[in-house]
Parts: sequence; C-alpha cells; structure tokens
Amino acid sequence: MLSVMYFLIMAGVEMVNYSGKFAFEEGKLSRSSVCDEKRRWSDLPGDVVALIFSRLCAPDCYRFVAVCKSWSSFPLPKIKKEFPTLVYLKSDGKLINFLSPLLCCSTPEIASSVCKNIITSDSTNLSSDIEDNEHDQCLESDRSQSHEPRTVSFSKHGWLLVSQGKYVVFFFNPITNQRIDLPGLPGDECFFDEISFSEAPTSPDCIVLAIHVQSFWVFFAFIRRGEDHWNSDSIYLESGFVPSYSSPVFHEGCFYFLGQTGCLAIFDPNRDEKDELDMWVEVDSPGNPCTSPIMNCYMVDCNGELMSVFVGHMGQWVRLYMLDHSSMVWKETKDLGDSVLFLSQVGSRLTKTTKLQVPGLENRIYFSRFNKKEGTCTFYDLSAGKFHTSCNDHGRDTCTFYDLSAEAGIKRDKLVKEVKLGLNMEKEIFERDNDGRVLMGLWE
Amino acid sequence: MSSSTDSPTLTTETTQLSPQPDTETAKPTKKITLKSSDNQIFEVEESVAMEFATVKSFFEDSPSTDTVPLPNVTAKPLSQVIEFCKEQIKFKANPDEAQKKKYNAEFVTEKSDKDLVDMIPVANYLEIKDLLDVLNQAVADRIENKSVEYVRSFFGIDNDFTAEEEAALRREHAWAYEGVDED
Repeated sequence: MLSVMYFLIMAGVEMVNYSGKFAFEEGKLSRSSVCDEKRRWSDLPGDVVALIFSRLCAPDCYRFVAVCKSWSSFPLPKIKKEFPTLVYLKSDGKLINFLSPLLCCSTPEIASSVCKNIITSDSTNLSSDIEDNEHDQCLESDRSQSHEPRTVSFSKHGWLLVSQGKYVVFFFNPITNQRIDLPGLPGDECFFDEISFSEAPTSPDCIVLAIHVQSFWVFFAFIRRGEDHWNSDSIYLESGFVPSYSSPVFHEGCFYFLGQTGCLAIFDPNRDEKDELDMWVEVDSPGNPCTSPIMNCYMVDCNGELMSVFVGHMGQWVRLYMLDHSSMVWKETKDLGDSVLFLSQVGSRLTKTTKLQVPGLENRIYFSRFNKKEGTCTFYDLSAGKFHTSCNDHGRDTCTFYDLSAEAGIKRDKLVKEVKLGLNMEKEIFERDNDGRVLMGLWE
Repeated sequence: MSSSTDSPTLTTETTQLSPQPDTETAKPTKKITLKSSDNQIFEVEESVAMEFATVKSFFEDSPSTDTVPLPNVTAKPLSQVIEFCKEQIKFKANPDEAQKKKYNAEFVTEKSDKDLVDMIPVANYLEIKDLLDVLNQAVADRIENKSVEYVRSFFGIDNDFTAEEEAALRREHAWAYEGVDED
C-alpha cells in the first residue's frame, strides 16, 4: 500500500569536512604584515583563512570566494541549499543513502553544470559519509530491540518520520542524526498506514497524525508537541471514502486526504472531539481528474496552494491540478513556471529552480522512481508533454513507467525484484535489501 | 629576572593590563619577557607564556634567553591575547565550562572588528588554538550573511578581480547573493 520510493530534498546544506589542508597558494606571514597598518589579509597563509572559511555556512562560502583572487580557490560546499536528493532506508533500518535525481540529466550541459557546482560527480562518497554516521546512530538508538522493518512514513522540513511495526514511530533527521521518539501508537484496532505531520518536530506547532481509512471507517490518532499520549478515535463515514496512496498533506491547519479519483477529505484535529463528524469533512465535488481508480496520484502543498498530480495508466499522461479555494474544485494547470516538482507519495515538494541553481529544470516533474544504471530519476517535462530518462550518449530516451516499474498497486517485494533484475542499479543496496524493504523519501 | 611579586607588569605606559591578584604570593613565580615588534615589553608569568606554543618552543630551544622577541606581533593584539590566556589559565585551575564559555563570548563581543581581525594572525603565530577557535568563530559570525563588499572592508582587502571576473562569479552563484544583509 505504501509507496516504495520517495525523494529526499536537502534543505540544509551538506556539511563538508574540511581537513584544513587546502590546495591554497603558499602565503607567508611576512614580518611586516601585522605591523603594517594596511594589513594584507590576502597574503596570510591559506590555513588561517581556511579556518575561518570552514566555519562559514554555504551561502557565505559562495560569497567569500568572491572577495579576492587568493580566496577564490577555496573548495565550495558540495551540496547546495534545497538540492533534492534521494534517500533509501535499508531493510535493517540502519542506513540511508543519498542520491541526486539531477546528477544525470537529459542534456549534457545540465549534467556538467550539476557536476561542476554541486556534487562533483561523486555521489557514492557522499553516501558513504552519511552512511557511516547513520549506521552508528541507528544502532545505538535502537532501544526497542525490535527487528521489525522500519519504513519511512513521511518526510518534511528535513525530517523523516519512521515507523516500525504497528506501534513504534519516531522522527529522524539524517543530517544531524537526531532522533525524536513518539509515544507508542494505540494500534489495537487497526494498523495506521498513513502518517503525516504538520511542522518539523522542533516546532511548537508540530502535530502528527496517524490514520487508517477503510471504506466506511476512519481510525485516527494524533499527537501534538508536548502531549504524552495519542488522541485516538474512529469515525463512521456514511458515504465512504477510498483513499489514494498519497500521504495526507497538512494545509491551512488541517490534514487533506486525496481520494483515488481526485476526491478530497479534510481532517481537522482542532475540532472538538465530541463533534467527531466535523473532524472529517469530504469536499462535495472537487472535480474528477481521473476516471480509472488505479492511478498514481500525488498531492502537495505548494506555497499555500494545494496541488495534485495524476499519472495515467503506464504513464500515458500526466495531469496537474490546483485546488481553487473559492469553489473547492480542482482546476487543471499546464505550467509550473520556473519551478520543479519532486513527487513521492510520502512527501512532495515544489522548488524554485533558482534555488537549485541548475538551469533547465523548469516545468519538470521528478518522480521518486529510479532510472537504470545511474540511479537517476524519471522526470516528466510538462512543456514537451513527455517522460524522459537520464541521458545516455547525450540522447533523450523517452520511456514510460513500464520500463521502470510502477509503484502503486505493486507489492513492495515485487518492485525490488524488478529493480534488481531490470534496472541494475545500486547493486549493493538492493542486494542487501532482498527482503524487499527499500524506501526513498522526499525530504526537504 | 624580576623579583616583583606582582602579576605581569608592563614597562610602557601606552598599554594597560588589568592587575591580577596572585594567590600564591609566597613564592615568586617565574616571569618571562616578551618584546613586541613595536618594541614594547611585556612581562608575563611563565604559565601564561607557555600557553603560546611558539614561545614555549623558543624556550625549549634556547632556555637561557631572557627576552623573547616577537617580530610579527604588535603590542595591542598581544596585550589582548595575554589577557585572554591569563583567564584561560584560571579556568585550567578551576574548570568551569559554563563560565569559560561566558568569558570567551564576552571577550570577543566587546572587541571591535579590527581588534578581532588583528588578533587572528597573532593567535595563529603564537599557536594558541583555543583563542584561534574563538576568534575564527566570532569572525564567521560577524560576516554571516554579509555582502562581499562588507567582508572586504571587514578584513581590509582590496578587490583584485576585474569587473568581468566578478560579474561572472556573481552570475555563477547568483542564489548566494539573494537576501544578503544590508551593509
């Protein structure tokens, strides 16, 4: 039921280890330099300036190198702000790998630009750095001693919400290695298969919602920051609701649910629990973006606007809708402007391309789906109305989902098998993942 | 060697160090004389001078010397560095991380940009790691989210890029120039 892959977007900037040894010009602390009223900082040994440089955050680094020529040779941080990265949670829950969906792009100039500015072509080193930290952290913090598989249930604002088995759920920040445990879920009646949260767990407004919808019943549990137990109950639905595989999205104080054919339901945790019927409101007729019930669909809060994306059978089409708030109807849109959309069913994100600093990404939708050997992502070009894979021999391969394995409706183990057999990427990861639990998420 | 039981004294009038009460006045502590590039003389306790790795190794190499010349260091930053090291020695005797943190923070906060920038090469030359850490962090904090022009004037650096080179750098990293503080 849960999507098997998801993106991760790094909002924070990757920490780079500076050893302090730079290929920096041999400066000399001349005898007169400090005595001079006009100091010559550009003459100082690179080491001294490097020590300051190593304490700067990334945007400062990028300006620092523009101060003078002798400072321009400092190596810049490898990953930029909000650069989207794929992450996997391995089957043992111990390792998370990062992979850039943009590393290999469909035009050579983009690929070189990415390599030059951001990743310097080596995603494996990056992964291994983080893996090492991650490994220890997870082992140590595994207080539950449970061997049940961990899955990433949701991701937002740099945090992964990881669930393990029926009851265990915790926040995890893969960059800082912070783990925040939540009280055990009240899972006696059902298995909460959809989990979402409103804000980062460090925010006072953070609220976590775990929910299970089965045709005429909604089982829910939510917890606010500072509470020591989940508030749980169930609601009977007279009309029924068929949820999609997309995680609930927090939008304007409520959690929004996307139904399989584009219908919408709104869960308001702030309603008085006595009026539980008011907590779950279904939107009358938001339109019917798709007719077939088995469909890949996604919902994302884009800067205060609710957007949904539907993908036709075998990727025959991709349709984009914005929710019109006055009429509460989905209105189709064809254009993302200068933004790029990264989609996964457990967390999606719209990003301005100017922040990614990679030209040519405008009006694209990246899916949480791997593409062949390089382990890059499938994207849909809205302008061209086509799916693309990454570049091989500088050409554009057009492909459909079928080449890459579909995600919704296919069991997790089957997907992994397909990836293993067909896509031949990230061998090591998938070899260790033979029990089928491969996860990726969108993390901003 | 000075027979005075006072804490480090200064033989010039231009720079002042706060007097430090010596709790072990019973036995006179060994003094070491440092001479700055502008020919000012600083007498400091041996324990303070040994905080300076450069001075320490100088004494190890030539133990009979009376005065350590510091040709790269002017009096003002040196007096500030000595002030810092004296405090650090107190914290070594009575470890109190919170107090130490507080002192270090206050030490840099009350300094001007120029004082900070002047102290860095001194701390580097004398190899005082703790101070260098504190100073570098303070400088990094002060230039956080500041424009390139601000950073140049902060360090007193002339722009040696051509207009074309600079424009190219800005274009390449345009995102880093968004939302920078006003100078």
